[in-house]
Amino acid sequence: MSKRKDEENPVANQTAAEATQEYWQWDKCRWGTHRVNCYPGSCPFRVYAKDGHVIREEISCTYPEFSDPDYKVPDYNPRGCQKGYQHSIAMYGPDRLLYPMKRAGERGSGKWERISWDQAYDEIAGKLADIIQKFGPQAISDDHGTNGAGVLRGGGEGASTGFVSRLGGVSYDLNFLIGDFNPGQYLTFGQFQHAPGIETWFLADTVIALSNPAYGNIPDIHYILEARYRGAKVVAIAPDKNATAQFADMWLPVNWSADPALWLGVCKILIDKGWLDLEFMKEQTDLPVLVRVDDQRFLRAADLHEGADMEQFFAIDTATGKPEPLPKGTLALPFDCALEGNWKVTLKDKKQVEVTTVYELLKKRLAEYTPEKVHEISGVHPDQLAQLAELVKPPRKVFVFVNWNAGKLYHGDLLERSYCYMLALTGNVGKAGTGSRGWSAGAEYIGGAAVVGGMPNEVLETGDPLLHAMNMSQKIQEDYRTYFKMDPTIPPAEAALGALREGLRMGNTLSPPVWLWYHHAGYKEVWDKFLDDPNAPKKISQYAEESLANGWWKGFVHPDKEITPKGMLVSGSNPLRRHRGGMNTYLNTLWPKLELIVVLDPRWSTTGLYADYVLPAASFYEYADAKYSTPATRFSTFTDQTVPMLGESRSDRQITLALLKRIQEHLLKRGVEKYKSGDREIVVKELYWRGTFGGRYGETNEDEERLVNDTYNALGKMGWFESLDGEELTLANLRKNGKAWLSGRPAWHATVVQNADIVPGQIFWPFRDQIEQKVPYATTTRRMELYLDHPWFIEADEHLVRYKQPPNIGGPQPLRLTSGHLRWSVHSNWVVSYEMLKLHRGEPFAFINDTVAKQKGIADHDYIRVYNDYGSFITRAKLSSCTRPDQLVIYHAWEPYQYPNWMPYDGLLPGPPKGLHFAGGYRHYEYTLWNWAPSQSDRQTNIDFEKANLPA
Amino acid sequence: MSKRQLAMVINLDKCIGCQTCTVACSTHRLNHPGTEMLRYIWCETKPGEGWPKGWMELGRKVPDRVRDYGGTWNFNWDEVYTNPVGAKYLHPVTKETGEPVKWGPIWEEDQGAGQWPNGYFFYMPRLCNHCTDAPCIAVCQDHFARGGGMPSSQGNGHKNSLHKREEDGIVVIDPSSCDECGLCAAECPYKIPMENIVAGTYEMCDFCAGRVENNYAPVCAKSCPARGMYFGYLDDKESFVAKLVNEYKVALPLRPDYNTGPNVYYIPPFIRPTTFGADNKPTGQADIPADLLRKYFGPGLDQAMVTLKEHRARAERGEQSELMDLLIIYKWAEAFTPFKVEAPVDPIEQGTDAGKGLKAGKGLQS
Repeated sequence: MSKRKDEENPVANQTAAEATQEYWQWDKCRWGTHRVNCYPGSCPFRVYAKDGHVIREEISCTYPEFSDPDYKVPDYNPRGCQKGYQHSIAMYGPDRLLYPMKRAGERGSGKWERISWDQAYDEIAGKLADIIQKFGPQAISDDHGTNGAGVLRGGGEGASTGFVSRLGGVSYDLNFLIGDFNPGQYLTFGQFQHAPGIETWFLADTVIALSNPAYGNIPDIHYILEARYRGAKVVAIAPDKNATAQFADMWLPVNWSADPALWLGVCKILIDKGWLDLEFMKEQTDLPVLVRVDDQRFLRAADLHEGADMEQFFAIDTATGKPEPLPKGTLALPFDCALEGNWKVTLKDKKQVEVTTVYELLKKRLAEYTPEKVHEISGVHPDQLAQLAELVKPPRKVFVFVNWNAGKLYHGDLLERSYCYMLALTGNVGKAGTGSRGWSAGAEYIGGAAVVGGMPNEVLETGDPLLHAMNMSQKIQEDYRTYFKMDPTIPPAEAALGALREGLRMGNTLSPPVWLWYHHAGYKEVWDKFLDDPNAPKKISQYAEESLANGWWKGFVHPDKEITPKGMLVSGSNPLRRHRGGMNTYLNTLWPKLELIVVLDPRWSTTGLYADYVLPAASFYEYADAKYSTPATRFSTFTDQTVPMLGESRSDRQITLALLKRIQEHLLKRGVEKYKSGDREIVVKELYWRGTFGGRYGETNEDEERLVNDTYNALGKMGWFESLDGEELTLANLRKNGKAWLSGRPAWHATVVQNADIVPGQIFWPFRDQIEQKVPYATTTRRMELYLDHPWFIEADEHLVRYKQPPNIGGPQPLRLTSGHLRWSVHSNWVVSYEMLKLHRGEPFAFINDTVAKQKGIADHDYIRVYNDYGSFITRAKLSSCTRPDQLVIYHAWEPYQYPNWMPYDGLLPGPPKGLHFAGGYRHYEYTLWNWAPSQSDRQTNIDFEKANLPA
Repeated sequence: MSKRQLAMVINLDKCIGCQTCTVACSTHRLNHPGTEMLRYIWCETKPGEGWPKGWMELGRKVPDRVRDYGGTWNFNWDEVYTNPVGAKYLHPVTKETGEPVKWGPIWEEDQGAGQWPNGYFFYMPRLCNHCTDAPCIAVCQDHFARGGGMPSSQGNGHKNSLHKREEDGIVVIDPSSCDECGLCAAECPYKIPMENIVAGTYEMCDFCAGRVENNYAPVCAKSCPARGMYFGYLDDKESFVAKLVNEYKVALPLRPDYNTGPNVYYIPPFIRPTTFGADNKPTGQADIPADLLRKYFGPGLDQAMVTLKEHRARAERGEQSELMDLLIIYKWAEAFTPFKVEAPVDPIEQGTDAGKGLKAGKGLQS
C-alpha cells in the first residue's frame, strides 16, 4: 500500500540525511552580536546567510579561557540567550521598517505614505531650520535609547546625540531616562560605575541576590549558581519569591522597602558581637570622622580657624586624644584613630561643642533595630536575621548582586546605602568576590565623544581627531585637578567625573531629563499631586525650585523653562512606552507642543505610530560595528555586515549626517551663518565638516567602516584595546576574531572609576587602588560615606540610614506594583517578535496571588483592570502562589499597542523622583553624565485590580 | 539496545527557564513548512500540567492539537500598524478555531504550586529521551508489519519509520515512510512525537544527529547559558554524563516507572530555600515536596539528594569534590567530550570525509 506523497513538498520525501543537510547550507558566516542594552551582554554569535538572507545564528562559544595565576574561575562560555537566537527571524518580522514614512493623516491616524530619503531629509531639515530660526536650537530635543546603533559610528548609544548636540539642541541623559542609576552606592562611594568582572561573583562566600538575575542576566548567572557548588551561600532578598529566589539557600520575604531595616538589624548584630573589620572601618570609611553634635555636620577646619579649609575633616588620634586632620591625598592613616568616644572642641568663635564619631552615631541609630523590631517592620524572622548575620561575618567574602531597580524605587537610595553599611563593617570592598556593582560602558565612546565635543579646527584639518580625543581625555582630567580645582589631592575618579562635568556644562546641550518632565511635560503637577510621602519634609517642587535657586544645576537645565520643546528626534528609543506616565501625562502634555516628531528605528514602535516621520534604521547584522564594551566582561564584541541593510534602511549615522548637511544648506540659504546655543556659537558652514571629522568620514558604508577601523586602531594605539592575536587592531582583525580585549585603564570616566587596571586574561574587580594603594574615594570626606552631612539629608533624617515607610504613589490603593525586565525582550526590542510571542501568553500578563485572585473572582488568564488615581490599564492575569498577596508583578517592556486601549502599565506610574536627589552644591552631590540626578521611581506604585469587563 | 548510547544530562538545580535551548533548536531545526507550533525541546515550569496539557495523565491518548497543544497562534501586526492608534491591539488568536489562545508550550511560566509564602517552582526542559526500550519503535514496527506505513525513499531495507541508530542510540523518524498513523504519539508516555500536517510526517528531536555526525554537540545543549546541560556516550567512563549517571548516580531518568529506559537524565533541584511557618519562621524544610520529586525521578531520588548535599558540604569545608567540579564545569567544553561546542564556520560539504563533511545517506543506515 502506498500513499501519494506530495511531490511539490520537499520535506515529505526527504530522508533524514537530506533534512539534516538542509540546515548545514550557508554561503556566508560572519561574527554577530546584538547591540542592545542588556548588560553586560556582549555575546559573540556566528551569523549565517544564504543568498543574501540571514538564515540563522548560533552562539559561538569562543571567549578565551582565563589565564589568571592567582584565581581559578569557570570560563565565560557559552554566552548568549534565547532572544539573540531569533534575531535572524525578528529582523525580517512584520514590524520591520524598510522605507522612510511620513504620516498622511493626523498624528496617530494610522495613515502613512512612503517617501524618498531625499524628501525626508529635505522636509525634516527644513522644519528643523524653521525651529532654530523661530525658537532657537534648544527647542530641539533628542530622546535616544539603547537600541544599539553601533558605538563606533556614532558615539554612545546613537548618532542622534551627536547630531542634536552639534546643532545646539538638547540631549537628555540616557541613564536618567531609563533610571539605571545606583543612588545609594553613588552616595556611599562617590560613584556608581564600579563593575566587577562577572567571573568574580563565583569567588564570593556569600552572594546576596537582589534583583532577578534569572531573568536579567541569563548569560552571567551561572557564576552565581556555580558559586554554590564551591560552598558559597546564596541569599535572595525580594518581596516576592521570584525566579531567582528559587535557587537560593535562603530567601528573605522582605516587606515593602523594608530592606534598610533588615540591614540595620544585621549591622546591629555585627557590632554587638564584634564581627567587624576594624582596620577597614578606620582606614576606608567615614566611621572615625568627627561630627559636631550641635548641628550634626562634620567637624571642619573652617569651623576651627577663620578662612580654613571647608573640606578638611578630622579624627581622634588615640595616642593624644585630640582631633587630627585626616590626610586628603591618601587613605593611609598617620595615626591610629578612635571609633568610639565623645570629645569637646573649641570653635573659632571660642564656643565649645561636643563632637563624636560617625560610628557612635551609627550605634545609636542601630539601637532600635532589634531582631523583634526588624521582624515587625520587614517580616523577616529573627532566625533568618541571625542566619544572615552569620553569612556576612568576617572573614566571609560578601558580594551584593544588584541590577538597576534601586534607582527606580523611591527609597532605593536607603536600600543600597544600608547594604553598603554591612559591606563597610565587614571590609567587603576592593577584594575579589566582594562589594557590589553598578554598570560601566564604553571606553570606545571617547572616539564618539569626538563627534560631540568641540574639536579644534587644526586637529580636524591636519591631525588625527580620534587619537586627539583620546589623548585629550587624559589631559583634561589632569587639568581639572591642577588648574580648575587647584587641588592635587583629588583622586582620579573624581577628576574624571569632574572634568567630564565641566566639559559638558560648557557644551550646553546635556540635561538630565527631570527638567524636561518638570518644566515641559506636566510632571511638576503630577508629582506634587500623586506623591503622598508623610516622611518628606518638602514637596518635590519645593526641592526642585530650591535646587534651581541655589544654582545647583547651572549649565544642565535644558531646555530652559522659557523654551518650549518644538522638535523631537527619537532614535532607538520609545518614550511613549518608557517614560513613566508616557501614554498619560507625557503624551497629553508634551506631544501637542511638538511641531516635529521624527523617529529613527528599525521597527514600528508605539512612539513611531504617533510620530510625523519614521525613518528606517539598519539593524545589527546589517553593518559592521561593536556593542559597547564593559569591565564586566572586558571584551569588545564585533558585529560584521552579514547582509546589506534591509530595504532602504541606513545606519543612524548616515541618516543624521545627511540631515546635518541639509540643515546646513537650508540655514545658509536663509542667510543664517551663525547662531548661539547658550554661550556656544555654532558656525553653520562648519556643521557638516565637523560631523565628518574634517571631511574624513562621509556617509557611505565604506566611509563608516573606515571610521570603525580607525577607532579600533586608535584604541589599540592607546593600549586600551588589544587584539586577540597580537596583531594590529583593525577592522580586518575584528572580522577575523570577532572580539578584542579591553586593557589597561582608558581615560574615560566610566573606566577610571574602576580604580583598577584591566589585564587581558585575568579576573577583574574594582576599588583595588583604595585597598592596595590607599587611593581615596571620590566623596566629600574622601572615604566611603555612611554619614551624609548635606543639610537636606540631615533635615530628612537620612544623614544616617533608617527605615522609611514607602510613600503612597499614584493613590491610596492597598496593593503595590513591582516590575523588572521581561525574559522575552530587551526593553521593547523583540517584544513583538513571533518567536518570542509564541512562548508565553502572546500578550502582556501580570502575576497576582492565586488566593487573592480567587477572592476577587479572577481566573487564570482573565483580563484584569489595574488602577490607581492616576491611571489604569488592562492585562491578562497569571495566578501564582509565589506572588505576594498585596502585590502585582508586571515586567517590562510591552509595547503600548499590545494592550487593549493601548494603555500600558507604565501609564499609571506617576514616576516621582525623590526630592533629595535634587541636592547639589557639594562634592559629590554634583551631576555629570550618568551620575547623580533625579529619576522616575515606579517600583511599589500603589494599585488595586479587579476583573475587567472585556470578552475573554 | 544499540552498540553505543548517547545521553544527555540536564541539571535542574541550574536550569533558569530561559528557553535558550527551545529557541536555539527552533531557529536551527524548526524552519521548514508546518513547524510553527512544533517543538523538539521546550522548558516547562514544574509542577504544572506541562505541554501537551496534562501529558503525564494522557496515557495512550494522542494529544489534541488545539485542546492540549494550544493550536497554531496567529497575530495581527498589520492591523495594528495600519489602523488609527488605539483601534487594534496586538494579540494572539488560535488559527484552527478563531478563538483566543488557551494553551501553549510555556503557558505556565513561573506559576508553580504551594501556598504563599511557601509557593515554589522549578524548570524542566523536555525533549525526546531516545529510550533504550522505545515504545514508539515497537509500535511502529508492529504497524508496518500489519501493512501500515509507506515505502521509504531511503532504500535502506528498514521496514518501519522509527529506528534506533546502532552507532549512537539516537531514535530517528524517516519522514518518507511515515504515514502519520499517530501510534508513536499514543505510545510515547512523554508525548514527544508531534505531527507536521504540512510535511505529512511525525517529527521529534533527533539529538541533532546531523551535527553529531560531524562532531558538533546538539545545539540546545551547547547553547544552555546556565551551563546546565551535558552530552556524551554513556559507555565512556570519563565522560561527564557517565560519571553523573552511573558513578555518582545523581542524574536520574524522568518517570522511570514508564519503563522505557530514557536516556535524558536530570539532576534534581537540591539547593532550595526553606518553607516558612507562622510569622515567617523558617522551618528548615526545602520547599519542593520530596514526594513530587520522587514521582518525577523515581526511587533513585533520595540517595541522589543525599549525595549532592554531602558533596556540597565537603566543598563548604574546603575539601575537594569531583562531583561539585562536575557541576561547576571549570572548562565547560569538557562536558560535551568528544563533541565540539564552537559554532561551525565553514559550510559543511556533502561527500567529504569525517569532520569536514556530511556523511551522506547515514540516516537510517546502521
